[in-house]
Amino acid sequence: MTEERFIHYMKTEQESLRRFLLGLCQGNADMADDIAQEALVRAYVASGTFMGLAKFRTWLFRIAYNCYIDRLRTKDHTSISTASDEALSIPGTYDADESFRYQQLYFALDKLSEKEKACVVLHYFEDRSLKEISSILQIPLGTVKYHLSMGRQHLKQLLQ
Amino acid sequence: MNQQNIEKYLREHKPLVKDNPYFILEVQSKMRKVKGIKVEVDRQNKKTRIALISTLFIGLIVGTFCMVLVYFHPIHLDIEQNKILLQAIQFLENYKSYLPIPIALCAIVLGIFFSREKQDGFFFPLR
Repeated sequence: MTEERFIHYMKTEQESLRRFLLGLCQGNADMADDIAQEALVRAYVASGTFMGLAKFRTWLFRIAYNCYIDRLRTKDHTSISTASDEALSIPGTYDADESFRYQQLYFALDKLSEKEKACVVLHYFEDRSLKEISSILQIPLGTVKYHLSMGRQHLKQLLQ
Repeated sequence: MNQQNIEKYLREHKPLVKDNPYFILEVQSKMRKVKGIKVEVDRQNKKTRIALISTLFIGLIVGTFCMVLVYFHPIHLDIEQNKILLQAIQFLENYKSYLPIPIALCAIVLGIFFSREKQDGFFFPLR
């Protein structure tokens, strides 16, 4: 893949990628952007090996998800959950920043397992098909359906 | 909140990405910094690919040559005279029931090796 083509794809997919990571990081925009940049740089380095066997978008999201998991492993997980806990403690007013509109959702997402969260974020925020999610997360289709169903059930309880 | 409501709620609450004009610029600046690494990675991949293809072709040529040689110049080995060969055949005959064990071990080792290779290999993303 040529550099120009990579930059073109990157510009097309960056918003979607950042939104996916924003969902995973419970609204922590700095962290999401940081992981997105890391994923794009990794993808750029490995772009020579991209043979077009999968969609570029799927490939890029898989790298991003791996970066996110790496970040969780290396950094203390509390650094992510604290953001949503703090957000929840701030009184929500009509004039408050737009991001606080999502505090309840982010708080609920934080309580899901990583796989459930990823499935929910990809399916409902990014409108990805189950097959594509299975390819991004590298898990069987049946497992995606299971995680999605469990995620919905947990969110239902948490948001009530 | 029922099933449809939760789905509707999630679709209506897609996170909003704030427009960040510096995002692409920062990525491009990082890309420039790792360009040397990319060149090296590409070079290594190209070398490995060439080595794999060469090995395949050399294997095919040597294999064909051997087949032709065996077909046109068959040698009748006198096994009774060749003690080492005879011993090897006898050893295999005696322990043939245990033969699947080393084969299975080799298969498992190869399986583990290739499954690990997949993560950083040709067609799969770097972790």
